[in-house]
Amino acid sequence: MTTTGQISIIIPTKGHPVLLDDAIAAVHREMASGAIRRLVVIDDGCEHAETRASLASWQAIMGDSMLALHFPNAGLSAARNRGIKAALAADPDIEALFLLDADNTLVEGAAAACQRALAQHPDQDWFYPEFDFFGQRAHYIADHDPSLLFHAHVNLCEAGSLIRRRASMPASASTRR
Amino acid sequence: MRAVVLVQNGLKSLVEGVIRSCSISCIEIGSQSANEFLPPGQRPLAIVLKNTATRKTVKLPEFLNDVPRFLFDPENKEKLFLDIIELLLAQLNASEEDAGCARLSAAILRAENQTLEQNLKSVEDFLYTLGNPRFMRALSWDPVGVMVSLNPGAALAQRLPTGAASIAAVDLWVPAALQEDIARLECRILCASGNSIALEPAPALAGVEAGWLRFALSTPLRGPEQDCALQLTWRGEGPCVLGLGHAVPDPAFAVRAEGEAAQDHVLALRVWKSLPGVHLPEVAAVGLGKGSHGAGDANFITPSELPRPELFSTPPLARDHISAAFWENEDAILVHPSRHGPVCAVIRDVELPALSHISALVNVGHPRAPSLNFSVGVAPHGQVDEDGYWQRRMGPWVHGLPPHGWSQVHCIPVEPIVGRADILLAVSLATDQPNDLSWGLFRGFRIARRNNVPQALQ
Repeated sequence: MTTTGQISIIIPTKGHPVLLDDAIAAVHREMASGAIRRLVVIDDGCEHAETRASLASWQAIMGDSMLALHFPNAGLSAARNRGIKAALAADPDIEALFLLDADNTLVEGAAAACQRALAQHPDQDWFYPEFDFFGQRAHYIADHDPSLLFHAHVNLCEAGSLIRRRASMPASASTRR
Repeated sequence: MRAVVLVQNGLKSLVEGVIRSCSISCIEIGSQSANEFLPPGQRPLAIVLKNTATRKTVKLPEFLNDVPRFLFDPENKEKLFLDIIELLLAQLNASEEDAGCARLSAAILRAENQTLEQNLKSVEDFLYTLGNPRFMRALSWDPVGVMVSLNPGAALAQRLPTGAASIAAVDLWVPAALQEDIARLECRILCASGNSIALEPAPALAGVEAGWLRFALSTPLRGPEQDCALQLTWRGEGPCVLGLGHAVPDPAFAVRAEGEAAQDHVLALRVWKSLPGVHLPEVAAVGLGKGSHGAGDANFITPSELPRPELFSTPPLARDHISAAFWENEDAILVHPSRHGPVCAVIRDVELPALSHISALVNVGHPRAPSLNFSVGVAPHGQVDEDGYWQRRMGPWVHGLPPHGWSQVHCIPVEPIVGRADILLAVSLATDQPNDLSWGLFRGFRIARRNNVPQALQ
């Protein structure tokens, strides 16, 4: 498994043991592109033993490229913050972090697209992807040209987003909801 | 399940003393066959032997060849304990890896299944839409005979109560204009996002110079659904006259000239939406010939000036009273609808050269009549029923006119009327109730013409 990637993925998990497998499998697949260095999974006090079993199994095949941490439940934002902290501690030179929810997956080529976005927009720090819902035909487009008027009507800023490291330095490394 | 460790004869109590776990059974290897000393279905965890010398002398069945073998050293009993722990740990790791691979495989299968379902859905959608229309008229505001004039450099804005996505073209009603002038009318769609998209005037067939003129995009608008407006700027030299549609109560939706109060009416227009690459229907060629600058004229004619009406289309199941008649004292044409559907009367063989627009003044004639719907239409003489689908030549219906109510109905011919024509008058009940006293009256007609009547007809 490569360890040269620019991006670490953070998955907070609680209550999605089955969907978690698909989220991790998508990251495992995208790691082949070399864009992802490490997966950090934060078990936010999940009540399902299946979550621990799943993490143990994935850890067995992903080795050092996965970091699974277990904490008492503290809420989604706290879990993300713990993930950011752990990812930055594990890889201080990482370029960016991607917040992926345990009930989401990455489409094929997502990691390479993230890498391209980082390279093409060196002055931008936060990237929102387009997204779909499972089983629905809608395709949600993050506005390419930000419009205050449009955002006043509908604002599609998915939490699953790519954050450049300089925007998540310890002083500001917290997400709130 | 308990684990089993096979031990050489004489070692059982020693090994049990080292392992000291009730979950691991020690079974001595005797002279009997393996099937006799192993519980059914059980596979041993390890085999413990006395020393290397005896390692080869102990005969075991072939299926036990790959079972790990450890030597029991009476001087270093702890080593056997550590060996067993390491062995268990390795098996645990292998199991976790197997479980991880199983999870990975299951996730891949789920993803493949999802992709397959999406592909099947795409095929289903494709098959489903094969017979569906690929374009739609999202807005259709017919002209009502009122005009707005644009001075050079002036601009008009009209809100479009439809989403911007997929807009492919906008038709405007131009009473009289030359093609080369139309190129100087700048037409843009303003999106809520702030984007402004220019539409290009589409060349009309047969040199149409008045009527619906199309402004089109090269491809339908993409992007998310959002509010939009139409902006027209006149870059020509003289005034530019455009047709207006129906009146609206909310001035926010009326056409508004730059720096002026909103009009009472909307702009007469048609907004087309389509899939990319779809050919839209041609604009109706109501104009004739080239080279005329005339703005046209109009006159009002009463029913007494027209031929007598006759019933043309009635509901097949109608058993109630239906009729079409000229009422001399009222100077009106009565069309009495059925409870079972609309009734259409026809006035045949009327001279209407260069007709551009016909309007009818309609009235529900009896105070105890039910509410009625009205429509008027026009067809070239003798062609009204050539395809059995007279409805396509009717203008928009005016719905739910109450007793003693008055209104206008309008029709733009769907094909050029060059000479004699048949006028269609249709009435239906607005609600399902008896048709007693359903006096649908047509009180008069406004006939609008262009004055560029072809030579052959003059």
